[in-house]
Amino acid sequence: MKRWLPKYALPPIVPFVVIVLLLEFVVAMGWIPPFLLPRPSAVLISLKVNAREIASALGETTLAALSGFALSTVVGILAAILLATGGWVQRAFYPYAVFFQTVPIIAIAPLLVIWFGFDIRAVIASAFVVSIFPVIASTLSGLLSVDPALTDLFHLYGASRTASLLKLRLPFALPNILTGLRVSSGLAVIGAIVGEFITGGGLGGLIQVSRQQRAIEKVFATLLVASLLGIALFAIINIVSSLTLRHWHASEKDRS
Amino acid sequence: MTPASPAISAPVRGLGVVVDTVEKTFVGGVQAVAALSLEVPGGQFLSLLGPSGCGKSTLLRLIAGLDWPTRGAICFSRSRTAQDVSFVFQDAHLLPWCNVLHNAALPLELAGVAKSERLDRAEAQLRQVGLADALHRYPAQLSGGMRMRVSLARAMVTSPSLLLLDEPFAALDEITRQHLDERLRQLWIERAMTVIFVTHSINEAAYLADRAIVFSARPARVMLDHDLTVRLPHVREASLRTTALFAEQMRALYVALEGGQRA
Repeated sequence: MKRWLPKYALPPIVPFVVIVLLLEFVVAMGWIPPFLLPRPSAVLISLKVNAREIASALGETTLAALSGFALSTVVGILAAILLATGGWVQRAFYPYAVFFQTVPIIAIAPLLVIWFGFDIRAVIASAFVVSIFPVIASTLSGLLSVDPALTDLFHLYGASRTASLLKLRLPFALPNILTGLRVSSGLAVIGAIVGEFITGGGLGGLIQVSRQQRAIEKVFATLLVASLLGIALFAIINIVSSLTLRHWHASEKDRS
Repeated sequence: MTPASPAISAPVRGLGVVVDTVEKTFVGGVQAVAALSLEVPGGQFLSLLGPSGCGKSTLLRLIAGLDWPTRGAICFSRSRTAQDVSFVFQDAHLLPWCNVLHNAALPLELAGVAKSERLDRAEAQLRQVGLADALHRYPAQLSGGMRMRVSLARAMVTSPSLLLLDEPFAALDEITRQHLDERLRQLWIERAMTVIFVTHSINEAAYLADRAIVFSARPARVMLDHDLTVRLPHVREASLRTTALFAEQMRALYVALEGGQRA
């Protein structure tokens, strides 16, 4: 813990504190009008005053983002396994997987509301659509990069397709899957908030209402909480990554 | 746990191999093997020598069933099972997320052997290659020589009747390589299995095998089929490598290899 603090916690905290102090100074001096950029101290006060409302919105967004992310993880990995069978399956369906990467979520969010209603289902669908592609792409890349000698070895020892998948291909793809999940977790939060812009609930809905009320401090306070949600999900994936890869993968070995 | 289970220490009968006018042409027209025939009696230790790219590794993969001949056939002295044949690659190719014990037990795990039995057998095999104190280490924590020992233990854990090795010790330093050669020869004597060993090292080929075949450049033709048992003893000490008798055998292989490269 004594070594962890200066090595991992301090480096991101230092620039954060410097930027916050700088913003406080710049706005206090009147160089930027407070209706464009509020003072960080005002944002903190707004956070405290509206804590209950923001916490309730955070709960809604967290549920929707986590549900969308979980759905992306399961469907994305299953889709990648199917695509990794290669041949015509990959050629026929991969272009449609790319659709999820290129779809402008802000444009189709209203459609999702029409399809799923003005409730959390539309928000989950929005989080899912935005976050699934990185899972598919990274899992597929991992499944296709398995050491050919190990594939030969499994073949030689008469391993079934299921055994090869569970004992070789998925573990081999795990570092790639976790990389995809890191990207996907942040996108799920973005997708949920965009969905909430339309449905009106959660942090997205609160940002919309605060913006219409010109309560810029509240907009920033809500944005801060939304960012912290994304960071928390990212941190959870990092912990899972560290626990599962620390013994064997270069990306985690150096950190342990 | 027992130092060696009966399933490991019991000698097995080597699987005989017949390569019958086998030809292998890859997509793009590269002919790696052309009308090659040879017979390996069960229980023999055979070394295959030849210039780089002459088709030795291809032949080994064909025998393992990892690839198919374009023409001809490869037959065995009896029907083979998945546990009969083991393969050791040039690199160790271990599962990096599994520790040494679980890596060595992998073939048994894929064969559906109960966990306690497979771990007992893997541990016994790892003891035989001198890795008793590294059972719970991960491949990334091992030296190249140790990784290769795990690979050898994994290949031996099923008590194969045919062991195929493709330049397994090529990347190791000379001393580690000689130690592993000695260990391999000893294992072969204990198990009575058939061994086909591909190497670029004349010294290794002469020390390990009872028979050495020298191939020409691609496509492989047999330049020399040399019986090493006439002059070299069955049980071989490390000091054998420094004798005139051994040098004489090496010379015979060298002359054939040089001729094969020119051919």
